[in-house]
Amino acid sequence: MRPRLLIVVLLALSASGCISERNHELLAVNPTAVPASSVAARHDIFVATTRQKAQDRTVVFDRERSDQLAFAKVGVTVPRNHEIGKIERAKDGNAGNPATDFTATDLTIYKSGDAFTTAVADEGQRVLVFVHGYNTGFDDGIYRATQLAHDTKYPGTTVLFSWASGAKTRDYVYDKDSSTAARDDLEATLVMLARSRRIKSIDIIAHSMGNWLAMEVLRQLAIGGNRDLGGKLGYVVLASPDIDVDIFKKQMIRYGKPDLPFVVILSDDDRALRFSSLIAGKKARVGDEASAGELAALGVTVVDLSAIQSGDRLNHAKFADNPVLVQLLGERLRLPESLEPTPQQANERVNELAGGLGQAAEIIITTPLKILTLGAVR
Amino acid sequence: MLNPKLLILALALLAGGCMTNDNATDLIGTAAVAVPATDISGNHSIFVATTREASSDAKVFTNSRSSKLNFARVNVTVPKAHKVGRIERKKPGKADDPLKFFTATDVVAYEAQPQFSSALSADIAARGGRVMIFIHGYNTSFDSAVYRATQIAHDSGYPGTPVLFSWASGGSTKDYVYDRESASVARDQLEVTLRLLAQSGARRIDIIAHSMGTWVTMEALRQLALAGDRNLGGKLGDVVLASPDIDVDVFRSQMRRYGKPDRPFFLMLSADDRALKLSGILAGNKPRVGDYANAADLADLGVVVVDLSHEKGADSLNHTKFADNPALVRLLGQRLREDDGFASDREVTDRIKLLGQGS
Repeated sequence: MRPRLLIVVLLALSASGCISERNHELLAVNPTAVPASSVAARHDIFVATTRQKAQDRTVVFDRERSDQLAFAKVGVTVPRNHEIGKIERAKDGNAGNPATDFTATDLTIYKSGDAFTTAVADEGQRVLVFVHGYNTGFDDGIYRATQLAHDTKYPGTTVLFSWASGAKTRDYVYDKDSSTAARDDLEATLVMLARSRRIKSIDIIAHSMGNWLAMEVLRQLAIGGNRDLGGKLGYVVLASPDIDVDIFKKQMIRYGKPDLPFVVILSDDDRALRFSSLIAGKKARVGDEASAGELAALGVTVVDLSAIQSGDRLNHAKFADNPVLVQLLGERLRLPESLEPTPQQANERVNELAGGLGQAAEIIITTPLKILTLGAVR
Repeated sequence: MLNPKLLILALALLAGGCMTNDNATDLIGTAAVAVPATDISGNHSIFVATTREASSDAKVFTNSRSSKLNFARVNVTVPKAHKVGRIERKKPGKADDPLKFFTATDVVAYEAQPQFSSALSADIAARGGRVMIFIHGYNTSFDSAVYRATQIAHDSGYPGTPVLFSWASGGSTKDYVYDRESASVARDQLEVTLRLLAQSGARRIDIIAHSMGTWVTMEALRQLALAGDRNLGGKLGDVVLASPDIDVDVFRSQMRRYGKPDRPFFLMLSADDRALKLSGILAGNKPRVGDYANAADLADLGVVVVDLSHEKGADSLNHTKFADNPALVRLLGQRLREDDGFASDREVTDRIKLLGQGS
């Protein structure tokens, strides 16, 4: 990329409204007392993080890297008026009105990985590990994990792996280094959970730069001879992967064909990935790669969302913020691996969901074997 | 808000005052010039494993990534007038002159790995079983990498076989992130190359990596460790990491995973490394290993830190002191030569450290 372009990109990022600098307070200090009926649900989000403890208690963990993994649990309420796909957030961090906003009400810190694993296993057999992306504060990751758990109706325990993102658009390289420094910690977290006899299955959902981290960890598990976590690895969903295409191919080759194809969710109109690929010398990112067939050959199923609307202008989080998609994702996650819906069933379901929301939806799925187009043609 | 330092960096890059644009130039000259052997001071065969795309023209290999590992051998002559630490290069477009300049005289491209391996094995056997592999840094085109490998082999007086591992750097200052990605793409192929060297009859493999090349190197060593072969079956010799362009936290995590090396890695760094200052700014004001002030902190990880802050570099960036400072490159060579058996050679090691202390 040309230096001139770098300046333009930086200026564009700083000028554009999409970058708001929050204070990242998470915990509500004095939550408004509201009747239970105004809250849709309460979720416990378990956390393993390489972030440092924040000075401000309400921020909990900040942008700095810690040498040690820390473990926690955050209780978050979802308001009654929640719309699927949205994260209703108070404007200034910790206002704390559970009737109108996602509200983090309480925090538990675990002294050790063992105590954490025991607490997770107490909740049930199935665990979802969510790895957030670039430009994401601790609070942002918690809210997204909550929204995913809520809107997918995930039938298990949600664990957020929170690496030390600087939570600023200008921190692209800092974030890349932070996620890289966190590889062994994510691996340790997965291995620790998989070692628990009570935990039977671990699903992984990664978003944006979190995919670099997740793929690195799967790759090193494979090199170390534990590619499927002793048979406990479930679904792997890679949403808008911010990984150079050549690196992703190499990672997949090193991992080998997964037993259950990884699901890569991508969109041609992903503007966030356009920026990354500009920074990276105009090389395509995976989440932006048009050649689904080529990726599918590596043992992944490519879900192309180009024809679907998104809740954000960047089209970078469609998997979670599009109501049809997040529900479909949930239905897939809730279904046993062996019970894959037929193309007809899937098609009907997409139309049903999209019709109910008055949306047009078209999803193109390229599996190692076939290409499916689901949903209404606009 | 825009980080003002980033803007300064971007402007600095734009102005280009502090960095030369190292766009790929032809490696092979238009006409071979015959000169008497007495007029050159050395003729080196550099074995090459590269993830660059082969080129049909005189550049030999381009700045694009190849999906497969390519193999070659390049012969380079060093002129009589060569000064230790320098790379005397002709101006682009000018005729070759082996009397004055480093000159690549011929290139052998190997069709496949077996041909490369047999040529390599023969050379290794003829030179006493030692191999030095050099991994270049960011902003380095193929020709520059070949010349640097030649200069290091020549000035250090390395007795074994010189091998260049050349990953697909864009060869331009503006390609910082592209280069990082290219370096990551090349990890598995560097691992393959190291294993190949171990299987080619080498009894000892020394590694010298520079700048961003240290990232590829540390990654390859880390994954060898993950696979249970951290010292290449006992053949890994010295590992020299010069001006590592790696985030300090990432480096720490790599070393922890690798474990304490049997023989400490040499880490050459310099507080006045301006190239790494720029990377550090780009990375959110976090220090890179190569300009990190807290050497003791790194030493705990099993590395010998050689602080070159008091040594002079030949380039204004102070990013290549290990090779372009005449005293250093000679000492490096002495270290590599004298420490031939596996007995530790305290004396030379200590002198490198002393040099680092400015005495």
